[in-house]
Amino acid sequence: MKSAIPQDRVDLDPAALIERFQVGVWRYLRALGCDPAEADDLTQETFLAVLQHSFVDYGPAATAAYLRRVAYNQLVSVRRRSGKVTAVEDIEQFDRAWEDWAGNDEGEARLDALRECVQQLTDRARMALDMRFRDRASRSEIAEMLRISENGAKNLMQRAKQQLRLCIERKMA
Amino acid sequence: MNGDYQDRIMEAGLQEVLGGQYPPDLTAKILQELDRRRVLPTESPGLLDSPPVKSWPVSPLTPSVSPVAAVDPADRQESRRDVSAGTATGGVAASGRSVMGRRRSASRVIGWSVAVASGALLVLFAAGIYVSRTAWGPGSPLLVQSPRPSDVTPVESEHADSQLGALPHRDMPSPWVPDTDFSSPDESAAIASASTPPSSPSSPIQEAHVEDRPVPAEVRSEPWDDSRIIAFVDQMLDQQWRQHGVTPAPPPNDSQWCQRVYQRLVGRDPTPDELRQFRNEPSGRRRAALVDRLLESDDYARYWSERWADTLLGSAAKQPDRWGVDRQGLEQYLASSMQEDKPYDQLTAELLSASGSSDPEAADHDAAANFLVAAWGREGSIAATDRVSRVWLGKQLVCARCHDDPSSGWGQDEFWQLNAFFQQIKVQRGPEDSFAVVKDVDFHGGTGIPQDAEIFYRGQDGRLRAAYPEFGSESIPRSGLLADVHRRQELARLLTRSADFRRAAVNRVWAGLLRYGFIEPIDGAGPDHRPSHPELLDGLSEQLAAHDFDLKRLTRWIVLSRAFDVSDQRTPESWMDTPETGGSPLFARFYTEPAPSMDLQRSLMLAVRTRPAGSTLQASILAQRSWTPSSVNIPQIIDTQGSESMIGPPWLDRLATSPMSADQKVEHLFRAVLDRKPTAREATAAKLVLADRMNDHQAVRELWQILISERSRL
Repeated sequence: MKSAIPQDRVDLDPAALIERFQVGVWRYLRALGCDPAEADDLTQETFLAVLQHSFVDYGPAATAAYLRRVAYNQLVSVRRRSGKVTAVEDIEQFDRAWEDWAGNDEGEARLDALRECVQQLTDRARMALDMRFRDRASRSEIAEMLRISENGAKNLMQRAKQQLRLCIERKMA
Repeated sequence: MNGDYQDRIMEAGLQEVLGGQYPPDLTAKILQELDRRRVLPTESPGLLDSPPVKSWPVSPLTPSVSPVAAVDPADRQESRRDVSAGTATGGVAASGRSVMGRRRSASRVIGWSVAVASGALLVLFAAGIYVSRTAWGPGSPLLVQSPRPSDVTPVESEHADSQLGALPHRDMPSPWVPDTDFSSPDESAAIASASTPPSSPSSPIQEAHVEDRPVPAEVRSEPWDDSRIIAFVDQMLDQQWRQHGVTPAPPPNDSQWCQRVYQRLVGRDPTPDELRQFRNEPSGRRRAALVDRLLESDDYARYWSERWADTLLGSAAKQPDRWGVDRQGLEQYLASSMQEDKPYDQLTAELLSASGSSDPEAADHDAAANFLVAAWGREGSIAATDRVSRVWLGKQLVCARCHDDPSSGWGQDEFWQLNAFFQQIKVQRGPEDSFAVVKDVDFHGGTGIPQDAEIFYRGQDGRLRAAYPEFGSESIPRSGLLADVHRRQELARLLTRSADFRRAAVNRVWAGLLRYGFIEPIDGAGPDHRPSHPELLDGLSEQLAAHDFDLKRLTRWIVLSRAFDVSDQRTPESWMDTPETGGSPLFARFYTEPAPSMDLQRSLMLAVRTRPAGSTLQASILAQRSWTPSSVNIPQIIDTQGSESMIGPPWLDRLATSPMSADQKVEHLFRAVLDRKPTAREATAAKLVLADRMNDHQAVRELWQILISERSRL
């Protein structure tokens, strides 16, 4: 099957390659647990690694997958050196989940849907998520602010996320 | 499990949607680094990427930089493999460990790389030279098989280069990317041009870099009075105009001049009352009076403290919460320093030698320490060395780390001699980088003798070399003990006496006021970037020193000179003065800053990103207000426009006060200016900008301004 795909090295425009795929790589790394600064660094190293070697263009989907794998390898490499455990046990499964989410637009459509869905949450649920993801509040801080137990805060956020997931699926259907 | 992964992916999405953590545009950065790596030789990446200062029991020599051992290229591969195995069980820490511990670690490493007998022999040999500390010539047969210190993973992050362990240095070569700073838009181009292949020791670079060494310049000229200095500036400008056959643009009228002075000194336009006050003053001294008034104002201190903070923090300035940097604290420190007219050399010394916490609540808080917290970054002393050279010497030393650099004129030895000043530091970061503490610690040197504390690095010829603190051919005591010598204080003393320090200060202030410096990029001084007005630069530098490094005085000279008294019109007679296209600036016309070419989305995202980490939106709004005009792009965009475009059409006020929702206002603005609806992300960011401004009028104007910029770009 592979022979049907052009095998020759394609002279890619590096800038075009970076511009087209960097957002996806960065978001993928963030989903793998990198903080923004680490995602910046690893996105850069991913493209550098790819652009410094021969590169065969099999099309956007394959390129995106290849970049993700390089990015993952870079992450594993960094984590091993710093003695940390790589947080993803099954990268294949994670990749499938990511592809479902990202689609063909690096996740833009889902993020737009997510924005709209957040607005549909109850005030309490939205407040809890705001505190968690915007203000980086701890679970105990959220619980204190909402005058509920920590478990209650956890459940509230889990439910909210479940609702968001369903809402996004409806919008994407 | 799949559900877990979906959860995590969505959480990352929420961090973006709610937390404002948007993907950055890394294109330029990556391409720049790609160019750099393509230029650098690839046959021995380890030499180029290696973390430089790792101890190995090899004696330094009497000279401050000395070849210690040679590595046979044929043996490198084997050596690397052995060392990799060695690092699996432990490496050699840079310092802070006992000599015995160091020897044990070394023995373990060697045990993986060579036969036991050879290892023992090596240890004995190393111990021998360690004790005797006599000079060894290149090519020692035993050290040929030594593990390369650069390949040894630091085990303990006790001090100094502990940050090097944060990113790999072998598989991910040279992860460090040069910082950017506010006043050097062409910095990336400079880095690319600076990335030339290493030269041989006998290459012409040697001549160049001897010429450009930092010169100790303690002798100060007699101070001239202001009128004489301003006349000197005018004369030097005029001389260049005549040489190039350029006729300067006609002078601006008083109102235009007043407006530009406000914009460049305090970052905003004058109010009608302020303009009226200026006009009502006697014409003979109204200009000097205005400059003096503004230089003493809080607005000046605040605006320039922001700009200096950008310079000092480098890339960390773009992400205020990064690495525990308290940007606001640093700005306050800088502002109060300006208000009390602290001499620039004293300010520099304080920043260079500061110790303490960046946490304002901490007992050992020292806002000046924020500079080193940011400069330290991930690369530790390496990054700090480069940032110090950029800020205070006007040079980029990123290339000199690995090889003599013809662009900066610095040799590799000089880089490491400068780096040796930053070895008595330990930077500890709080949880999630919420703060950081800079501590002074004794440095025990690569071989564990604190009284003679050297660092080692791999020379471009493959040999291991030692370096001691030295700057501008002046060395200091070699002890690493704080009780004997405080290296950073010594560096501050030497650096602030150097001619490069003065020139860099003048160039930076000149560029901050007139858009272009005498040397472009602003931190690209060296043989490849000669000053456009060398005599003027030197003259102002001397007078700056003669006037006790009074930056306000320097600013006064520049603003009251002809450089500020030419209009921004392009005339047929001044067509040659086009620094925008890469030519040398002649300052025959006033260079107005175009709106940054960044697109709308990025402008808005940057606005969103200024919200400090961990704060509530409300807190961030308050913080933004206190920073106004913010150092991020929106006020700069506004700053760079003429007053007419600043005011905007009258319907903006009606829009601001209308009962429309934020969504409707944003859409209205987008449709009016760009003839389209905003995307969801643009709308979100735009609404945050609306929420983040003092009043609706200001917010709507700022958004309108951004959209106008975007339309112009399109």
